Amino acid sequence: MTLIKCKIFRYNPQTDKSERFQEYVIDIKEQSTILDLLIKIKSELDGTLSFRYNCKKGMCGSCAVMVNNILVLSCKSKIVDFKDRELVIKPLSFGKVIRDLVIDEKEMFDSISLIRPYLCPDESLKVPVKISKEDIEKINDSKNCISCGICTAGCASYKLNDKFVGPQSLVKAHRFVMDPRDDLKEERLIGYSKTLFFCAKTYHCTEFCPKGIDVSKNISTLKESAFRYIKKPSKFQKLSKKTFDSIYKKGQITKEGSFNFEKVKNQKEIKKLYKDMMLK
Amino acid sequence: MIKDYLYFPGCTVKNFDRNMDKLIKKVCLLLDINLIKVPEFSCCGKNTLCDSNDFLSYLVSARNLAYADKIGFDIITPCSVCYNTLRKARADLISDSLLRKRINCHLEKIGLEFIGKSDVKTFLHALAIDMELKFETHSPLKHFTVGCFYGCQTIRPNNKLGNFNERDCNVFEMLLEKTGANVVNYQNKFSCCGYHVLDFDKKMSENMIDSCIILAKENKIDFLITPCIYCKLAFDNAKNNAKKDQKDIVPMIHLIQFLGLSLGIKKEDCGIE
Repeated sequence: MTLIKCKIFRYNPQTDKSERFQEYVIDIKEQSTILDLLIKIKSELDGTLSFRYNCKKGMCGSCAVMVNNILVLSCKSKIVDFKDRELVIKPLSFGKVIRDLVIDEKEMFDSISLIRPYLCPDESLKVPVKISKEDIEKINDSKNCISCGICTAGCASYKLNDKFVGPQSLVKAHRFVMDPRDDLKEERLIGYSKTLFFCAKTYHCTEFCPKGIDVSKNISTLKESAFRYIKKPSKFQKLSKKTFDSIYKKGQITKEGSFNFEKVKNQKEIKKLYKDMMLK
Repeated sequence: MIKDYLYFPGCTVKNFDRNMDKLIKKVCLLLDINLIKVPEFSCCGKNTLCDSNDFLSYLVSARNLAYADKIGFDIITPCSVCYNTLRKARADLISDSLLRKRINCHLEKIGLEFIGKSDVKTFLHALAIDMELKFETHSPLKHFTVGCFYGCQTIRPNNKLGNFNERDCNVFEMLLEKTGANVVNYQNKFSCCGYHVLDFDKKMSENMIDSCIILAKENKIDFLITPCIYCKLAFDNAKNNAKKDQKDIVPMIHLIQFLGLSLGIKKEDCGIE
């Protein structure tokens, strides 16, 4: 047993004038989880502390919090994982605080419903539909999403831009776009095409995902699919295409209209790679 | 002891900032780092080529890495976007044997093979890890208060890049302390400069950087230091906008510039005002 010091975010909008951090010191095994810590504090020190949890197994996604600026599921994260002497526990940052560590996730779930998070199958398909191993591998990670909200909380773009639907929604979108039974691929991609490009590639989503989903890569796959399906490129796609074309023509990105640049030796090899893939 | 690296300037330094290129070569001479030029190195793909075609972006990265494997030294780059793109590609090609096979089938046609021996480093990695911070500075910079700004591309995603980890990392601070400067624990050190979205959403990009600048001012920082040329450019852009609005902002300079200063290179030659 070790004495653990922690500061927990407290706020009850009905009774508190302002947000504050409350200090607690408790004796607990270092191998315990953050959730064990919160439960012990609630039962022994302060019954008013509010937080979400359910399965205690990292499957329901209810217990996501921020500990020392690291986003974790409290039931899967151990006290000993944090090398700092003091633990600072805060709620996820993307929703309004309902109470203490509990936030309103409605906005995030509304964003998810925007992308139609359900299969829209081709009605003519004969059931049961056989899905190949290769096809299922494409959605191997995105289908494990538990909607914990960690990627959304870490995403800098989501905080600053109303038009960005958020990484959580795009992981769900990826799961359905890449499902071979879904019949709405083109319509979905046209719908997401603008919002996709607001991803700033900060990789917070991939870094903190408790299910190990490469969220950033899934978003990148959606951008790639959008390229193939959408006939009229948006302003965003035209900008991406500039890099694509510049690497084909010169093997590098140069100043507009500039001729004063050192050529890439064996640039022809890159052209050959493009042609081999039938991209030019 | 002289350390050999293959110099991957990246398009930004190579084509948009020749002064930085000259400074890098000067600083490396003083640090006993031998930069080997590889004329075959192409654009890394800027982390956006994968959005157009994922397999092609692996091919372009693999071609660069294959040339590095042929010569036999690690790659060093002043641009964290190049570092991130190449190192992620290398990690995937090493762990996924099927992908590596498919890539090598294409590379074979141009006489190359990806093996994965050559690693990819930024100057931060080279100095902090390879050289274990063993370098001499000549002009201690005691009168400067600095904060470090890692840049997203330098540290995330940790499962593919390894090395620095947000949970437990003060390597950059230790490096800056070596120069004699007063290093402050800058809380936004792992934040995003917003440069990637500058073309897509100028306002959002500017908001991202504004929050970094405000915090730096509150910490009374003279300079923010970064190993990534793009973060530096994001701040230069913000500085130009601030000039128009007559605002005062904290400058961000590249690690190479600050090292140059600590090694006795004149302020003007380091590009510092």
